[in-house]
Amino acid sequence: MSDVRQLVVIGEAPLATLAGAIGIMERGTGNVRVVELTPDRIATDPLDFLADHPADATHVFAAIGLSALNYARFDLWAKLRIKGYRCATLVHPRAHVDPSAVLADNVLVGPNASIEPDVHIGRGTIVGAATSIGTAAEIAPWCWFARGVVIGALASVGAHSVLGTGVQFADRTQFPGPGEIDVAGTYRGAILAGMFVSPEFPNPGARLVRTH
Amino acid sequence: MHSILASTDYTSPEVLVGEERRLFRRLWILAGFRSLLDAPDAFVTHRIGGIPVVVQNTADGLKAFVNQCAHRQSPVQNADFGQRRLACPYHGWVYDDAGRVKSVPGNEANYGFAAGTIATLHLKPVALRVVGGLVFVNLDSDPMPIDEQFHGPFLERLEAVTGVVGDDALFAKFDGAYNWKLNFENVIDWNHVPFVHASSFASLMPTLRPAAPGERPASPPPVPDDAIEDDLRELSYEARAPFDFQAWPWHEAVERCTETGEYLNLFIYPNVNYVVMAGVVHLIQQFCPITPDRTEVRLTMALGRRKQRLPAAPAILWGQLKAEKRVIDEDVAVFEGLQRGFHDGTPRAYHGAYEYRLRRVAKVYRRLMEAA
Repeated sequence: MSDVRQLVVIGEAPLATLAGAIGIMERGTGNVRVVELTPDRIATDPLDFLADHPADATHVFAAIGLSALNYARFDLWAKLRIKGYRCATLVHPRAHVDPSAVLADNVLVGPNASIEPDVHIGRGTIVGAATSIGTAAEIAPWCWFARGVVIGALASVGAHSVLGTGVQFADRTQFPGPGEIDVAGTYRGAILAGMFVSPEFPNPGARLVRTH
Repeated sequence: MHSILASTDYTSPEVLVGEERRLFRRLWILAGFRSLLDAPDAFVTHRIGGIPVVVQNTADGLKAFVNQCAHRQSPVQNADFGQRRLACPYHGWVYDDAGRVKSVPGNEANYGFAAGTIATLHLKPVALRVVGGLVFVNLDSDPMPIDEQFHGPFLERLEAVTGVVGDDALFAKFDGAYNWKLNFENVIDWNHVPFVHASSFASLMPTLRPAAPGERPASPPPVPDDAIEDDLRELSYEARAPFDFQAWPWHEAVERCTETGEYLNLFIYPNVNYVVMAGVVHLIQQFCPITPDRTEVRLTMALGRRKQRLPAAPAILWGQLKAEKRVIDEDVAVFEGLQRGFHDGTPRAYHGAYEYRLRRVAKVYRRLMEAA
């Protein structure tokens, strides 16, 4: 049975646009509101627009992109939770999510994504379009998978990880996080903690000197 | 006014050998942040003047050694940073806090060294000085006093600025196809900013825009070469410029050393640009020669010491470092084009009045290179 609570999506395009579209497909146009909020305003915006949406009758969704390794989205989520709101889990109708998979709140699964059996996806993680997450993979909270990421079976991805388009993790790959891999290719094995690979810093990338 | 440096100073293997011996093995060279060596057995490795060096936090304090095992000269530490005891990964020789061989696995069966022989084996020690939050090393067997390389007030400033650095840090390195001197010359040449960085950060530094005619006092003509002092200590100095940094709430979570709206440079001769952004983000840029036309750029970015929890520190550092790298890439494109153009007929650089500091660097460099 579909959830007919109001959904208020708060954030920035394109994530907020996608979240709003999924919400409309789930709940109908009249039950979804999208409010723009950029990361630099999260700390100071009083979120007065929520006065029209009582917490016990409303779902919210923090739709801030990958700013600051998803810490900005986390900050907004925390602010919403403190106000008593519960966050929705949004799955695009064209995504495949195995019934045995467990998705936490404020997770979004984009169109044509595939979530295989026994996958766990932690709070606040965004799974981009056409991304595939293999059987029994463990995805920690506050990750960001761009379009077309492939996570192999039994792989694990740590909190506050960002994986860019075309990144593929072979089966059982371990990426402790926080970190970012934004150079397409296949990665395998145990990747060092605190690793950052991007077009600015291709392999071997940058590395946290100390992880706390 | 022509530079006293010729293109061969940027292309000749013989010149690089001279630089390794007369600059990098004689001067105090920055090894890195002190705060990254706080943990027991924390270490940082470097290659200075062609010699591998390790700085290790031992039970007896920070120590620096030539990073070559007394056995077969293999590196005792391989990573750029880490936390691991002083033990050679090749055959397992272990060293004590003074760099003496502590144990040789299988000595009796394989080596047959007498205890007295082992007692003579050790890592070669390297002089080390801590200045505020920075660690310097000197490879000379009779190192110069550090205050002969840096003015006292500059050392005091280094102490004050770097003393607030915390242990949240991100490290990266990359190679550029250019001579290391181009990099140091560039960082002290403020006049390139509005041209090379016009699309990146120049607009945030209003004082560095080119002056319209008559807007600022006319510059006097360049001073003659013999009027330029050649005091080594003058090559390391501080520069500050207003900068339109955005204030973020996390700025209050770490100790600061300058105001938010300030971009601070500490130029540390011969090869370091130390940058502080908004008083809270510290960046060491090191320009390390590999070959005459190849430089390893080492970037270590750290935040001020945490005053409260800051779980987003890795994200902050990563965002800042990527932004900084985009700016550096704009410089690297210039250096690499410049280096590619060097040939035996390349004329010397032609300097104006504002390039006084560049000419002073060249003059001191020439004196150091010609010293016995």
